[in-house]
Amino acid sequence: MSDLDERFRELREKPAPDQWQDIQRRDPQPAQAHGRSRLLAAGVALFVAAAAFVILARAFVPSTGTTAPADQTSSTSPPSPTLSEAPVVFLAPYLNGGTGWSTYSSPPAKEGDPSYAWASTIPIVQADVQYGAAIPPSTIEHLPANGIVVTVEVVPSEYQSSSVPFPYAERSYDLGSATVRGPEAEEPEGNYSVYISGLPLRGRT
Amino acid sequence: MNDLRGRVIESEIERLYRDHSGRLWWAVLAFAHDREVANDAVAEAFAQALRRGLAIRDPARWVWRAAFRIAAGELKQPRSDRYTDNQLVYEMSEPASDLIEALRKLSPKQRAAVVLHHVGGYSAAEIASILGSTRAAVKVHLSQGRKRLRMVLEEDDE
Repeated sequence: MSDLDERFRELREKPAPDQWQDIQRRDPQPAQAHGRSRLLAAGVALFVAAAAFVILARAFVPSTGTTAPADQTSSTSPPSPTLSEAPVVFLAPYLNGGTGWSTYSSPPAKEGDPSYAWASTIPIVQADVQYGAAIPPSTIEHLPANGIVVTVEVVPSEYQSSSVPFPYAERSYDLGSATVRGPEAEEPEGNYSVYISGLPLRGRT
Repeated sequence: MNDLRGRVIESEIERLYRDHSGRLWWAVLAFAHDREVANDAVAEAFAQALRRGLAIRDPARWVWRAAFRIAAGELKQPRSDRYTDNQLVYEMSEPASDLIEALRKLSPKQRAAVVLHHVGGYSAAEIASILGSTRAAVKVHLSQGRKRLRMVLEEDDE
């Protein structure tokens, strides 16, 4: 144990105020309640995310010879927002897909909720849709060699209220400069590579 | 059925709260140096986790990330009633209170990386995920922050 670890031991072991009852009664705040600055920063990231899925979708369309997979979830168009039911609603990101791709977009999101989109060279597994996570773990586990799953997530802090329902901007991405790594804790185990594009751009202009 | 699912989610989140809230609260406090911010950030993160339920795949990491982002957001807000939480120091042993004070002299990014590593027990890659940064950047902040912290603590000891 390092000297600093020893110094921090009391903070690791000391009890904190028990707020559980307050948490059960608490009404979670919308994202913007935590500051205008988060929303401003979010605008940049949202544009990044919006651009990323468009470019990735185009970049990954197979050139020839791929037949359309049986579509369990159907290739969906982005659902219409129900603005009358909520004061602020954001369309989920949308992957254009193409021949041989299955796509899915989460429903419109109220401010404070995440939204996401997937495109896959194999049918998207229904359990992933029901699970509602940002990454489709079952689909990834079923990927064959050379299979591809594209995911885009827009997290609550990336929404920008002034650009409802979904801000859009053209930006290009070079997958050659994407970060490449293996699966990490949040992702299914397996022998595959994860290309990350867009996420590190938060805060850039 | 929904009631049952709701109870299962609540039970899981409560278990998570019992396992993590102590370290998380102190980590946020060491980062923010504001008891109200720590209370609010931790409570809000777990309340959000309760609402989202099964949509969160790694709830532990999610609540840490949410709490730190909420705390960072709140610290950016000008607040006339923000105060130095001296009472906190009285409740702690001298080494721990010295440590809390020494952490003030780190930059926010260094401080976040250091407390997430030493209080949360997270690796550089996990901290990068929590803070929305890169592993390389976190390693730099950790290295510089730990070096700076040692210097400050040694000065205090002399």
